[in-house]
Amino acid sequence: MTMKTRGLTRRTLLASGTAAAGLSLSPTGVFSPAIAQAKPLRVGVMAPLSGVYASLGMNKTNGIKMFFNEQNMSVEGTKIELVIEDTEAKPQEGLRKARKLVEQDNVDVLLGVISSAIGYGLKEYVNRAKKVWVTTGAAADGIFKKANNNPYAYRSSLSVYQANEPMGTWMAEKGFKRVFVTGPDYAMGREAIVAFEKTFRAKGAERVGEVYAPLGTNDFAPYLTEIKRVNPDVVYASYAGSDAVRFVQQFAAFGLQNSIKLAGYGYLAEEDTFEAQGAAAVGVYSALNWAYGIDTPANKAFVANYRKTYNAIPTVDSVAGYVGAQVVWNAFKKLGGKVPDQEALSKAVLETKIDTPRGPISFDPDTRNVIQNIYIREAVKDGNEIHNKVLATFEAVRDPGV
Amino acid sequence: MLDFLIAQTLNGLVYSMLLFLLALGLSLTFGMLRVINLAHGAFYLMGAYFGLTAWNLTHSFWAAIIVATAGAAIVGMLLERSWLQRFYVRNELDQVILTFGFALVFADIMKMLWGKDIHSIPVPPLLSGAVQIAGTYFPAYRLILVGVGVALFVATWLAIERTRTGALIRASVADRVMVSGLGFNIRLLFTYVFGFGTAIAGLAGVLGAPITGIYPGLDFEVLITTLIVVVVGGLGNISGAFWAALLIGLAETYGKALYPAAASFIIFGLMAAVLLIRAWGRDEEDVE
Repeated sequence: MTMKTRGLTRRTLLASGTAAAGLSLSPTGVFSPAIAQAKPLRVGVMAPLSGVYASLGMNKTNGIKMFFNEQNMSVEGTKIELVIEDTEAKPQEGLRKARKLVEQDNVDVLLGVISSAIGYGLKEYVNRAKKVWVTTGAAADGIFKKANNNPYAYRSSLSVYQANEPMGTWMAEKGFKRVFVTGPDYAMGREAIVAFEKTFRAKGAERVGEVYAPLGTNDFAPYLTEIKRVNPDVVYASYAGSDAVRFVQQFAAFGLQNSIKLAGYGYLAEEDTFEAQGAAAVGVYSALNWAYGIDTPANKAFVANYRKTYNAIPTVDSVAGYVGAQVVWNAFKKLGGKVPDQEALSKAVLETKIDTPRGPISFDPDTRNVIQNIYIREAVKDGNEIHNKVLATFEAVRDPGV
Repeated sequence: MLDFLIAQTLNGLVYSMLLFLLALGLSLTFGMLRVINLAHGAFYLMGAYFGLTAWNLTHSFWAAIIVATAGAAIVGMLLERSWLQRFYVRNELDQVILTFGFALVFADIMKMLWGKDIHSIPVPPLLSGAVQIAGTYFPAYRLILVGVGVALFVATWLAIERTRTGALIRASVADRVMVSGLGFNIRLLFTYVFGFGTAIAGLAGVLGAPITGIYPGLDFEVLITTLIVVVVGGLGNISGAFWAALLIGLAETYGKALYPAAASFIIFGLMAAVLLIRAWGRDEEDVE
């Protein structure tokens, strides 16, 4: 059956479709600062509040707000103000917002940013503008190296290398010998695999297959069929977000869950994917700098307060926001509730030694990346919910940054 | 090797049917009403969310299917009645702007109602097992999906080719003034056809949810692939959409298995090839 469609060709349809899909979909969400008071300290918060990473951005800002609220929005008697800007997870927008915060709003410190694409440019910018920036995201290995260390940029979250390298050691010691590696086909997905393999293969284990899928792959069936054919003892995956949901679910649907261990970079099985993954996630091993089930008073208090405040389950991003805020607040406190100059603030941040829901943290002077615990986790059923419990802890892990 | 071929062909068929379910609604409204509905992806996501809510309330997959299909149909018919009907006489650019505007509005409303998190609907227990085919296990739910796709194709094709309503629809496509001059209510007919198209999109959303998940942004991801299938198949051509879905689904699956690095290029390459070889498009051939 064919019907006549006057005036329209496939090409016009295609042109209009692609043009439409290419248009920007992001309104700007701006949180106005409170009315200025006598010399308050201003924290410029940057996070993607619209666009693909909107959900992550919201979790991070929730964590940040919760910490400052716990301190009654003040430090040593000085008020703290938050100026929140939406980066839309776009490099040019992120840089523009950073400029606005530094040059117009005159903030005392920059806090935030998730996308690594923004991270590279922003690190250059804060060095020129001489403004301290503590990032709660931007995990790409290359952003914080010895070679590009500068006194204004700090990373309180993690590097991809830092989280994945201990996992290779642990998995090899657990007796896994043959691994099939897979991940999204972009820098982060590959960096995670490289870091894992470095230690895993050093222990004599081998890689029996690899495949990198395009970001946003809907159907993993062809790859899963290949995995089934190769029959490794473990699959190590670096998927995140909706890719992680689909990969873990389809892995189980194809019946691989019972014969092959699934393990990966922490985002593969995190608190924000469990609801959608359901039972398919149970038993997945993963490594990250936090786990819901860390059994310390600091973490338990954090989880309880977060669930009460937002009526939601905290994720690793909520914790990242919370810890970033902790770092900034402690530096303010060390300086007696004021920032005499940015050099003093930078020094105060560098000397950070605090206990967080993620355990003790400090900064590496060579890279200004955080030194912290890495947790090997397993997803387990916990009543009606699924959460990560801690199987092993690697203490004070640092990224060599070379 | 044979195992590999059978397994990957099955994978390809499943993916093809998901693509076909998406393309069917779009191709149909396009063929009948000559309207490019860029909100089609939104109806897919809307169906998935309607289904999710129904599932959360009843824990029944069948309820989810009914609510998703009916919900998408109702919203679709309302949209057609209140806005689209006035745009039939205007040029395609106006229609594109209108439907794209609605795609954005729907996306924001869905974010407000269902949040920004990733959700999923579990496969019903009856279909959650695996079936043994040629020495390998295959998820039962995926096989059912192939059946649903083929059944919908045959049913829609028969309805349009062999029934009185189908004849009426075809006649109105050829000359709508003449058909209404003969005393038929064209406007109502078009509303139903549009509603049927969005209903299929909603159905695809809920059936696809256990595989693709449900999250903001899925609507536009889905729209692009659907447009490619519709373009390759020929605008408004239902059997064309079916074969195009098969071609693209199988090509992409084999591509992923054999040359993973080139997988994302394959469907665009195919589309370019089809446009080059048959540049005029099937839509400008004669009506059968």
